[in-house]
Amino acid sequence: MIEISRLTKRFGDLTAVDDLSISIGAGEIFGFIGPNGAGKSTTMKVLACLLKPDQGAATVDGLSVQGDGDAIRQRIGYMPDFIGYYDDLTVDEYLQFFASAFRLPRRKRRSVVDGVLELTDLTEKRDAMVVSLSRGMSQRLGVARVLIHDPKVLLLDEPASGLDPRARIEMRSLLSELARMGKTLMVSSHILSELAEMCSSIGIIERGKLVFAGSIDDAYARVKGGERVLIRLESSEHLERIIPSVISVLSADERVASAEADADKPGAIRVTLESGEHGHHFLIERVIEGGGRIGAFEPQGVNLEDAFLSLTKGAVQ
Amino acid sequence: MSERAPESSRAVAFLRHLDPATLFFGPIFQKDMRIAGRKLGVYIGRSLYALILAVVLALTFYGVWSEHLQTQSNSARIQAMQGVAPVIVVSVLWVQFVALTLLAPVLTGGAICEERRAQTLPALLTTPLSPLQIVCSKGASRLAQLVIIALLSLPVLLGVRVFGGVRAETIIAGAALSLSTAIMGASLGLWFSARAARGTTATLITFCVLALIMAGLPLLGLAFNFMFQEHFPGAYLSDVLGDWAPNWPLEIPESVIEGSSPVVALFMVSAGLDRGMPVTNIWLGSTIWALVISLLSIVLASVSLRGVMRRSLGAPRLTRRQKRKLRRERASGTATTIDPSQLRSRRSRTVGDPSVLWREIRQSLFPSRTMLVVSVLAVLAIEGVMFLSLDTDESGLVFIPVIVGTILVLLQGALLSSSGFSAERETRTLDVLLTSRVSPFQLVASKMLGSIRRQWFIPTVLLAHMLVIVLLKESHPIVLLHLAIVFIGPIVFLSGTGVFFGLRFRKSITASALNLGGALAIWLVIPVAIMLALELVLNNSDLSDTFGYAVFFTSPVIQGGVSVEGAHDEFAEKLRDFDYHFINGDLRPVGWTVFTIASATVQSLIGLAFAWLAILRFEKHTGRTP
Repeated sequence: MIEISRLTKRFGDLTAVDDLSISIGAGEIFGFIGPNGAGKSTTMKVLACLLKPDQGAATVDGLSVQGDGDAIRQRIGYMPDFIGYYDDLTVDEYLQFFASAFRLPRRKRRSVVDGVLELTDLTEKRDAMVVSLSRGMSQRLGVARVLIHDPKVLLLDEPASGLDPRARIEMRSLLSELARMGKTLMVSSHILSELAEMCSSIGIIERGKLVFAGSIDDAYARVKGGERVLIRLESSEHLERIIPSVISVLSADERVASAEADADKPGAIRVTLESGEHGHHFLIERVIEGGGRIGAFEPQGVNLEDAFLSLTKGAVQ
Repeated sequence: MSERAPESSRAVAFLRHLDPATLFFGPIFQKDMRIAGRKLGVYIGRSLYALILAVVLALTFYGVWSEHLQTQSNSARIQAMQGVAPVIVVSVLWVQFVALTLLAPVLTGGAICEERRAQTLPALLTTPLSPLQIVCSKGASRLAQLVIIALLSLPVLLGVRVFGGVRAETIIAGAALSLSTAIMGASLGLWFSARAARGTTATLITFCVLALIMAGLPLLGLAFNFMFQEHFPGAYLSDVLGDWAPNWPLEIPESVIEGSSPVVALFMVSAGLDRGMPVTNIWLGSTIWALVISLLSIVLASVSLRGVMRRSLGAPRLTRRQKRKLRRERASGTATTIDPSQLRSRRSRTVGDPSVLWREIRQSLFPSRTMLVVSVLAVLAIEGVMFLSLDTDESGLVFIPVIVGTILVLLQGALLSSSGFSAERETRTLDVLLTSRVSPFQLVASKMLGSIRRQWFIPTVLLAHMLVIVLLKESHPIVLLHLAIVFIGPIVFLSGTGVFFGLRFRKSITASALNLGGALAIWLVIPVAIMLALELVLNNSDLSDTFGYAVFFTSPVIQGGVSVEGAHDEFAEKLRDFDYHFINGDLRPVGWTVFTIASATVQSLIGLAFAWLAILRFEKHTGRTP
């Protein structure tokens, strides 16, 4: 549905997007991740036909952003990271305004506006002035606005930014609902745990360059090292002596990449296995061998934050 | 338990707030100066002002010199050169006065509301800086720009004294009037900037208030004297109260009336210089008066900013009905928390097609209905004063309103029309709008039509004023047609150029300033420069008069003045036979109508050409893919 090939966009001396290539299939939820200033918003603006690329090509539903602007605008719904609102309109008028701007037939507008208001749970706020909405409601109105012309592709730039936990959960379920309706979503966010739950694939961008694109499982597999386990030893008056002994035995095992005392949790040892090692039962034997008694054994999963930190250098432009 | 600070330490803290170093030259001043220092436009503006000054100076000097060249005697020529200095000083003082008066509101109009739009004001309000410090620092940084511009003309004013014939106090008086008026304009601009939502609105209101001060106050003084001198005290009060009638000085001295308006005070200084008379103290009174208004405006601006601070901290602005409802609910114990979205709601309307035009033509010139009522009442009060103080057959009753009103029409057109696109950028709604299927033609045409629609108030007031004059049989009805035609041209012209500048520049205040500068150049600077140049090149021939006046007649202000003069002058005698002063002689009403239509058509076409250019360059300036 979205094909970006060797896209480059410069602003003076700054290269905001550098030779970027991404492919997003129909019905996918694509999470676009990167530090601030990495080039996420610029890429989305190019896809929304708001910026012309300097090099490379981008297509949406087979249409080029460089020549088929009007046709693409009919197919995409773009929600910028900061949504400005007309302060003199009500919620209903705001949606009618964009229904007209997208040239929806007059007879259909009422039902479409009612539909998106219901979908975004804003029916009760129909007559409220747009400026009076809370941040969460404003974001929902932003989503309602991008749905008004029933686009195939939604480009959502930080849709959950600044929302409280409840509003974030509501936004997440709303986006999942849209995916179920068959829309293709490209979502950028800093809240990686939410993207992990929602997205079918992700792209990680840093300093304008794509450092990773693929499924979430692939991203986890790219995390340096293998599985991690937190071992809590039973408390004992000799714990200070036992911990170094256990760490020494664990480190000697070739299947263990690293073993170290957890500074935040007294009596706990954090163990990382070598890549490709999936069984961790042998660790119990090693702990006993080192003179320790296991209080708790907690395998630690890899999350999107780990993948993000592992794949990026934390640099911003 | 909290301890109250002792009175003495609180007084010290208060006095510390008034320390000029922190009050005027604090971090905001430094930040604003740094930003201004990085802007190329600031240096271009200063250079342009210096260029205008140099052109005026050269033309004035050469004009006077060439006139005296014809004098054969050397001694007579040297003696005549003494007359050069006063002419140059008067020219420079007026150029400086006009430039500073126009620039001050433009610079300060956006000072505070731009911070609010950029959402930087809440951060500023959470610092230990007081609202007074914020207002004063913002004012000081803008005034620094104005002082630099004023200083550009100082060497000329001082250097020209070598010719003799100009007293130092004349220069001091002129400079003081220019600077104090600039300070007054800047302070009023800050006050309205703290209240208005948009910088252009604040600037426009400031210009209206300045026009009221400059033209309205002297009129008010005259009206007061007229009413109390001729109607009340002598006849009425003495008859009723007899010996008990108070012997109040119910006449406002002429010097006070003259001093109430800086423009009248500067005129007195110029007239005195021209006639070789000593400078009276009217300029001093006028300067002090302008500074008092400035002080009051600064205080009001900081009070308004305090209100903004409270609202930014979450206190919603409630209508009277909502306050009453809330009070009732509180009294009955049913009130819970305030939901702003419930308090601020209204019945939704059906949006028409095209939606951008639908919204644009519903944008009001006035931020609220109260403001509209207040403005209408103010206009009615001014009209009342004018009709009471002047005889209905006096030409001043038509000239002053039409000249001042036409200038306001031009200012309004220049300021309001350029905020369309740049305001969308500032509120960050443009990106969203550009992802819709609205075409460049629809957007530009809607913005332009909306801008024309918003300019209804001042032309309507002027036409209503003239309608009363017509109904009093002091003017021919054709004046209404002529004025309508005269207004259409610049309104369409400025709306077109405004839309173009608004699309081209990110900030509405930059676009407005350029539009205003363009209007001034086209209707004031260029005609005057061409007239002077033709006068010099063609050496006072009939041809130079013809070309010069032809250029002069492109100005809507001149056209407005000629329209009312032609239709008003001795109306009773010339009911069937009246003429309009034109380039080389007089024009019949039909001829004048044709000329005004032709002029309005040309101006409108230029405006439409700029709008068309905006459509053609739409993708380039917005970045949108075609």
